[in-house]
This record gives sequence, C-alpha cells and structure tokens, in this order.
Amino acid sequence: MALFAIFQTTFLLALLSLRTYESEVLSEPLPLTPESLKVSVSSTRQCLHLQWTVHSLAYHQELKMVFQIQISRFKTSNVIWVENYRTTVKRNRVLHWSWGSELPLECAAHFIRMRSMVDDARIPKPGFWSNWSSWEEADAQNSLGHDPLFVFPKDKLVEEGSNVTICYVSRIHQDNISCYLEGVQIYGEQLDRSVSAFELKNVSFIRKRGTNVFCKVDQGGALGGIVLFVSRTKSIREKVQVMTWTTGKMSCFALAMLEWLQAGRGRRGAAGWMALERQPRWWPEDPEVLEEPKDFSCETQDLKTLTCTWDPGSDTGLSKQPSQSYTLFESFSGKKTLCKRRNWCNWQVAQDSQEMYNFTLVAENYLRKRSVSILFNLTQRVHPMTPYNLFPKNVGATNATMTWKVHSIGNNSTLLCQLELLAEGKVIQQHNLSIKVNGEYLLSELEPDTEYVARVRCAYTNHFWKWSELISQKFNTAEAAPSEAPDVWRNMKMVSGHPTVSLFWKPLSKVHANGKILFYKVIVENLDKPSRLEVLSIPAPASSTELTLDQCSYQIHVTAHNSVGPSPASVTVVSGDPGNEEVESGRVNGTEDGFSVSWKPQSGDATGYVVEWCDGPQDLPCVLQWKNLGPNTTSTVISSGAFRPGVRYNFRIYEISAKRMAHLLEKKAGYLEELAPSDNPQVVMSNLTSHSFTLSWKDYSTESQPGFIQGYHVYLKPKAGEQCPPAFEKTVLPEDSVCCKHTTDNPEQKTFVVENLQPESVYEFFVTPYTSVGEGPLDAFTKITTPDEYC
Amino acid sequence: MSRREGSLEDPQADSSISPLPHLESKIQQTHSLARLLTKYAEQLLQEYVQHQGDPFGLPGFSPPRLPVADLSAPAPGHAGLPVPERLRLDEAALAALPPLLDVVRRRQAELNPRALRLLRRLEDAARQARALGAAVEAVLAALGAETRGPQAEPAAAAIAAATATAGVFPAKVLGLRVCGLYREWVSRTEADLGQLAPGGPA
Repeated sequence: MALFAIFQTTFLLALLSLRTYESEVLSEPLPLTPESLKVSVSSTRQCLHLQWTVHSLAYHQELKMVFQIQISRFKTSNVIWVENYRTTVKRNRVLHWSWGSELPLECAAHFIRMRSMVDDARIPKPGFWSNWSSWEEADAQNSLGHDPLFVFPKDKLVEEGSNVTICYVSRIHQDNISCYLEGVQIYGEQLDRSVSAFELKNVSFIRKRGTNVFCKVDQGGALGGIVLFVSRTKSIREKVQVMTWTTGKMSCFALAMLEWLQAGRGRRGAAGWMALERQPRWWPEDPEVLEEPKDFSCETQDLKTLTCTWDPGSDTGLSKQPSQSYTLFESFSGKKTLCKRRNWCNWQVAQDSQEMYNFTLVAENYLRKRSVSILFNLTQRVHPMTPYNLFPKNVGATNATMTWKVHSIGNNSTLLCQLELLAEGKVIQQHNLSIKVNGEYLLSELEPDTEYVARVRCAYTNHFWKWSELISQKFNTAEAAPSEAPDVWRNMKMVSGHPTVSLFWKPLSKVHANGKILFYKVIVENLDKPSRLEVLSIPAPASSTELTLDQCSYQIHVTAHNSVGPSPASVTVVSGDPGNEEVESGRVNGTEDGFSVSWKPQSGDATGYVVEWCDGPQDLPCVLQWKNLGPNTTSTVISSGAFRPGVRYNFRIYEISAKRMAHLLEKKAGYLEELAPSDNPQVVMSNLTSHSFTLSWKDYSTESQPGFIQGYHVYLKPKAGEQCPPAFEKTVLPEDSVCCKHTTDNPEQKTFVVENLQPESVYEFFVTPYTSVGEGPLDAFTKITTPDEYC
Repeated sequence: MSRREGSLEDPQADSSISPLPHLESKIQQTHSLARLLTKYAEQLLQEYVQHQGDPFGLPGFSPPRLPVADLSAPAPGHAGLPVPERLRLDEAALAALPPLLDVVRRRQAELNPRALRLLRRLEDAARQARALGAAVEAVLAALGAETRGPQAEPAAAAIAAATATAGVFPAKVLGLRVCGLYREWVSRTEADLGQLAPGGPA
C-alpha cells in the first residue's frame, strides 16, 4: 500500500513536471517525421532536388530542426552521402534541398531517405531522431533511348583545372568497351556490370570547340560519346603577365608562349618579365576568360539620365556558353537593371534629388562573375550635349557676331562655353563666357575677305567634368576697299616719233587687296592742258597698259578696285621728254643673295628711288621688274629667282622727285656669276703685206657675253723655227702645241695689226675674248701666207 | 538526168535529227558532273573532319555505318544491277541527301560558326546533290526508263529534331556519316554513268 502510494506520488509529480514543462515551452508531440518526400533529377546541373514537408507542427509554430539525409547509389545499402541539414520549419511549408553528383546521374540509380530531429534551443536536449522515410529512387536512366552505349555527362562546361567524372552505360553487357579522350585511351573503374566511370583530373583547355570523349565496343560495334567544353580560368594576358622564368626552369607552356610572342606579338620587358601589348587576335583557339570590365565610367548630359560605359573585353562565348551578360546595381537606391548592350547602359536618375551614386557593374557568364564599382556625385559627372545652331550674324569686313544655343541642364544651370576662332587651321582667338541657353559673342580684329572657322564647346560650370563635343561653323568676312595704292612703274620710249609710256603695276597682296580686284582705273591728266582727262578702265588681272602721249607732261593716277571701292591712288608724273640717258655707268657684283646696288643721291628732295631691271637675258623680251625704295636709301640688294649665271643684268636707278617725276640717276650692270665667253668673234683679215696683216672683229658685241669682256687673246703660229714676233710671247696650247700669244686689255679695241712677219711665210692666227673666268673656246686657226717682198 | 547538189546523202535515210547524239551528250555531261562532285565530296569530308577534333579524321576511327533517315550506303550488290536500276537508286539517294546535308550545316553553324569554308561546302553539296539528281533523272527519262516518281517526305526534320537534343558528339558523328554517304553516292553515280558514257562498257 505504501509502495503504491509512493509510485502514485512519483507518477503525479512526474506528470506535473512534464505538464509544467510543456506549458512553459512547447505543447507539440515529438518527434516530427518528414513527409511527402519527392526527388527530381536535373540532368543539366547533375543535381538531385529534394522537397518535403513536416505536417505535424502546430499551425502557427516555427521550429528549428535538423534533417539527416542519406543518399545511396546503385542499391540502398550503398550509402555514398550523409548530410545534416538544419533549417527552420513551419507547418506545411515545403522544404528544399539539392545535392550535386560527381558521377553523372544517368549512370546510376540513386536512392534518398531522411529523418529529422528537433534542434531548437527552446527544447531541452537531447532530442531523438524520427524514423527514416522510405527510400525514394531517382532514376535518370528511364529517359535513355535504345542505343546500346551511352556516355555522360552530355556537353558539360567546366573550368580548366577542375576534375570531371565521365561514365558510360552499356546495354550490352560486354567487357570490350574502351574509351578515349582526344583519341587517347583512358582507363576507369567499373561501378557495376553495365557502368564504368573515368575521373579526369585537372582538365586542360584544348580548344574552344570542345574536347571529344567517346567510348566504343571493340571490334567495330556501338559508339557513344560526348564533348567536354573546358573554359580557361586565366586569359593569355594574365598568364603571360605573371610568368617569370629562371634559367633552365622554364615550363613547356612558357617556352611555347615565348616562341609565340617572339614571333612578333609581344615585347620583352626588362629583367625577364614579359608583357603583352595587345590581345592575340590571330590565335584561333583562345577565348577570353571573363575579366573585370575596364574603364567603367558614368556620366550624364542632362541630370536626368546617366549613361554608363565600360570596356567589356573579348566575348567569352563558347559553343555551349552564351556571351557574358552585364547588370548594373546601385546601392543607395537598391535598384538594378540588366544591360541590353555589352558596353553601355542607361540609368534613369531618381527624381528624389539623389546626388551620390554607388554603381556596381557585374559581368557574368556561365562559369564566373566579375564586378567593378564606382562612387560619384551626379553633379560632378555632367558632360553637356554638343551646342547647336552656331551661326554668324552681322558679318562685316573686320568683325562678326557668333550666336549659338545649348541644351538646358537641370533647372537654371549655367554652362561655361569656349569660343575659338581659327584661320588657316590655327586658333587665333579664344574666348570663354558663361551662358544659360543662348550664346552670343562679337569677334573683332578680323581681316576682310578672309575665311574663318568658329567653333564652340561647353562644360558644366558647377563642376568641370568634360567638354562637350565641338560644333564648328565656317564663314567669310566681307570685302573692304583695298588699303594700299598699287605699286606702279613706267617705261618711256619713242614709238614712231611719239613718246609712249608703258605703265606696269604689281597685284596687291591679299592683305592689301581686301577682296577680289576687279579692275584698275588709269586716269591720265594733261598737266599742261588740265581740261584734258583720259580715264581708262582695265579689267583685272591685267598688270600693264600703254599710253601714247605728246610732249606735254602728264599726271597718271592708278587705282585698284574691288566690289567695295578703290584703293588709294598711285600717282606718277611723266613728260614727253625722255630725259638724259647719259648717266654714270658702273658695275655690280653678284652674290648668292643677289646684286648689291648702290648709288649717289643727286638732289636733296628725292621722295624715293626706283631700281629697274629686266628679269631675263637681253635677247629676250624684257620682263620689267622694279623695286621701290624710300628717300633715305642709297643701296639695296636686288634678289630674284630668275637671275641666272652668265646673264648680264642692267640696273637703272631712278630718283623720284617731289613732283613725282622719275629721273635716271645711274646705270649698273653685273652678272650673278661671270662665265667664260661661249663663242669667238668673226675675225676679218685685211691689209696683208709681206711683213704684216690686220685683224678686225668690229661686229663682236661685248655686252651680250656671259661675262665682262676684259680683252682678247691673239694667237699666232709662225713659220717653223721662227721666233715669236715682238709683242707676242711663247705659250703652250692645251694640245701641247707651241704658239705665240698677244693679250689686249681693252674690250673695245677690236682691231690688231700683226707685224714683223717674214715674207712668203705661212702664219696661222686665232682671236678669242676673255673674261675674269677664262677665255673663249679654242677654235680652228686661220692660215695666211705673206706675199713675196717684191710683189 | 537530175543532179543533186551538195553533199552525197543516202536518199533512204530519215530526215529527222537522231536522238542518240543528244542522249550521249547528256550522259557525258552528267558523268562529268558526277566526277567533279566526287572530288568536291572528298574535299568536303576532309574539311569536315578537320573541324571536329580528334579522333575524327584519324585512321582508326570508324563509327558504325548505320542508315541515316533510311538512307544507307550503296549495297554490295549495286554494281550487279541493270544500269537503269542503279541510276534509279542513285537518283533516290541524291534526292535524300540535300535535307540531311542541311541538317548537318545548321548544326555545324552552331558548333563551328567560324568555319566558313566548311559551311559553304555543306551548302554547295546540298545544291549540287540536287543538281546531279535532276540530271540523272533526265538521263533516265531520255533512256525511257521509269524514274522514282513522287517520294514520301524525307525524315530530315525528325533527324534535325533528334540531333538538336542528342548532344554535340552524336551530331558530329551524324555529320561524318552524312558526308560519307554523300561521297559514296556521288562516286557510285559517277561509276554508274561511266557504264553508259561513250567509251565505257556497253
């Protein structure tokens, strides 16, 4: 009785404890068995996917539990995997769990079961496991066809260096099946009577098109195979950049790389490091590994849309892998967008005045993910749009007003615009100004009738980020009247007894013409009869005219005219009197710079001097040239590209009086470079006696020679054995014959008497001029015979 | 007495043009075409194996010579058949090949998009097979022999669908088989026409 009472009391106490305990923590019955276990197979991912529920929980309850999962292969007793999966469970909430298989699922049947245990801190330990669920079978072999031999996994994509398990399933139970990787036999493990597996360790990249793995029944039977796609983990660039070597330790790969690079695709740096300048475009089997996007940058044109750009590098698409995708994340707003293009993306700026942006660009392909981030203030990334409607208005001869517009940015923002003016491709003016919408600026100090280019670009005033693109506009300034009088000269001559003046003028330079010269006006005013006025209009580009005058004096005005008006006038006074030609003559020396011409002033009131010459030889029509000089000059250097050696140039120096009349002051003649005479005079022999004869060459022109004739050499060959006559001296000719020579030193002395000769003797003579450079060419001698003394 | 001017002629001869020279010319041309395509088919096969990777093209690699869409290689007894029958079989094979070559080309365009010459050869092969088939049919008609008549739709679509899901390796093997069948049948056609061509066995 007492014992029963003790038991009863104990029982009641225990029950009370238990109930107390339950009322403090949980009221659910334990354990909780997993239910509705379903298994599915994903061949592409080679995964088993489990889902189950726990029904026994109270409706509102959440409980932490652990599920022990067992996976068996081929048969339930062959357990290959055990894992404890911890999670929080709610009533009827479906739980998920996945498991990836090394061995392709098609090569074996797999079995899964699980049991559970409460693993919650609110429940005192130790818990206890539920019963095992039934084995659920995942059989991927049901979907196989009727072929006798299958190889798996089909068309798998892996990274180089990873391990891959290949297997075959044979419906023909034969032992003579062999497998090959790239034609080389591989050996594996037989897992059961129809399945064998091959573990490939550290697979290498071979080609972008994949690596063939096949199995065949020996003796020409069934065939099955797969293609394994191996992606690089490092690009060629990355590998080469980190490659070093020490003598004797270069790897085979490095050697091959070195040979390839030394073929011209790379450059060796110092100290054994090699750097690749550019990606190898010609290597046919080299897909780029996905690298971090380069040059990631964002900017806005209007504070409403951001445009982000980056360098995506090469397309990493393989036969089994599409090209990489790009996603843009912004951390402050938490938003993201999938970019449609591989190198740029637009982002709508938030309306809530968010200024700071933290963008992360994620590049992702099947195997890997790369990202890059930037943080910036929106207002510091403004790249304005190109200005537009750039036009010149009110264009004059020396100024023009440029106008343009800009696209607005935000509300009331100011842009800093830079206006540049270019002439002949060079910037000659630059102006900066701040504008909001419309820009306008007056360009001045321009040249008339000149083509200019104006161009404008703008930047955000608040914070400079980038200039906008340039907009340009070409324009021409208007013409203005010519600013200089034409340079005019005259040449006086008598034609049929009438004084004739030839007027010449030089075209105005572009700087002075200020436009296209259309015509020249010549006004001839008779100073002796002022009422007589002659006006001539000579169309450009004529540069001369001829006037027939009389003995009167004339004042000649010459003006150049363009579309705007006339130039200042060039005024010359001429008279019918040709003037004194007898003036001092001199010589000038030529140098490589030209002729240095000097003169002595005559009157004290000269307003200037003119040096005149003909540009070509005297035997050609004169191309008259002249040079105007100021009143205080007494020398100048005359240069011309037309000057030639061996040509005599005659310079005439004129003094221009206050009355604008030209008086011949001096004449000068010179050679840029003297040459030897090119021909000899025609010599006539006369007055032949038994002791003498006379030579003459009066028609010889000394002025048309290629140098100043200084005199003549008279050569005489006397009778054999006879001495040279007096006034001659012995000389040796170039052909080594002995001869007699007499030299005269007066170019105008064109006769010579050869005397003191012997009668009845044969003499030969030859006359040649000489200059400072040398004598004329050696010609044939002329033979004469002196007569008998008594004839 | 009348005089006949011009060349001497047999007054008993039929004045219409003899069909024989025309048929001979047609046979000759078709034979030449077949010979040319045999060379191209060999080049196609070489080009094909180059782009598939080892072991394709290696001497010891020979997949089973299974029919493709009911098209097999010429039977061993083909050469023993009468020429018209042989040509009928040739024509049927040449008609079946273009859709299969198209399937191979489409698959290769995915696997080897940069192999432009291979893709072009496959496209040309389909067109040339049609042309040769039509020429053989014309020869058969000229011979007065029956042609094959309307045929059932080829099973190329089914092949294409199966190839798309079967994996890359089976697609490569199929392409090898189709290129091989193409070569065998144009070569067979050349030999069969050679029997009819002038100078060949009667």
